[in-house]
Amino acid sequence: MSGRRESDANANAVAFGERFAAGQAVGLSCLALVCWSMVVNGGRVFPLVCCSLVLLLSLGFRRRAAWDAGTTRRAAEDERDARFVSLGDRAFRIFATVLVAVYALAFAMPGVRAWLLAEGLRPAGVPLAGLMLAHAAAHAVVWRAYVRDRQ
Amino acid sequence: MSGTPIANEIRRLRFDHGEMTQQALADACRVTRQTIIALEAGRYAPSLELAFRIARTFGVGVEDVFRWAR
Repeated sequence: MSGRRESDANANAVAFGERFAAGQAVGLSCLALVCWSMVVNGGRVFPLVCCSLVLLLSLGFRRRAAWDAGTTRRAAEDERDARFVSLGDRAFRIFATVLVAVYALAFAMPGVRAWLLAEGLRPAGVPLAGLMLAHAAAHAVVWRAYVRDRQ
Repeated sequence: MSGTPIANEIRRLRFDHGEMTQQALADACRVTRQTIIALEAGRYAPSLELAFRIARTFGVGVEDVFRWAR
């Protein structure tokens, strides 16, 4: 009976949004690590440019991935996915606000300011890595929401 | 997002309509199959628009599909 087959397949029914959030959470975390090691600690320009470009391009990743997933007549996302994404948006606002506030406060502390200004690209690399972590955390929140909803 | 006071008859209506698959219903309503799964499991309350789309797909009224369960 088709209903039984569908029930059996339900356990494997992973939404596009969940796959995307998981991929982005892992990918952006790795990119933040690369940024931290090569820009913040290494002071290299090329990784800074690459990380910045990837972050800019990431604004279009979802649309591109949704287009890939929805090339047939089927919908890749709907109103339920929008609810999960809104959780991620809220989490990103919180993480980004905390990040910028802490970064600004760090400049008020002489020891931390000296460390930040000791390397030419460090003042740019730290917020860039932090922003990528904020994105990754927001995607992780969406991913967790999908997983909790399936259980 | 788990648990909703709105119960529904989607599973029964699917079987009454020639064992319509979840994917077929999802395609007809322009949503994902995961949303149909969540609806049938009672984990998601649809928007008014989606509720009307589902009811129209089955050719019945909204109150024939959804009801307040608590």
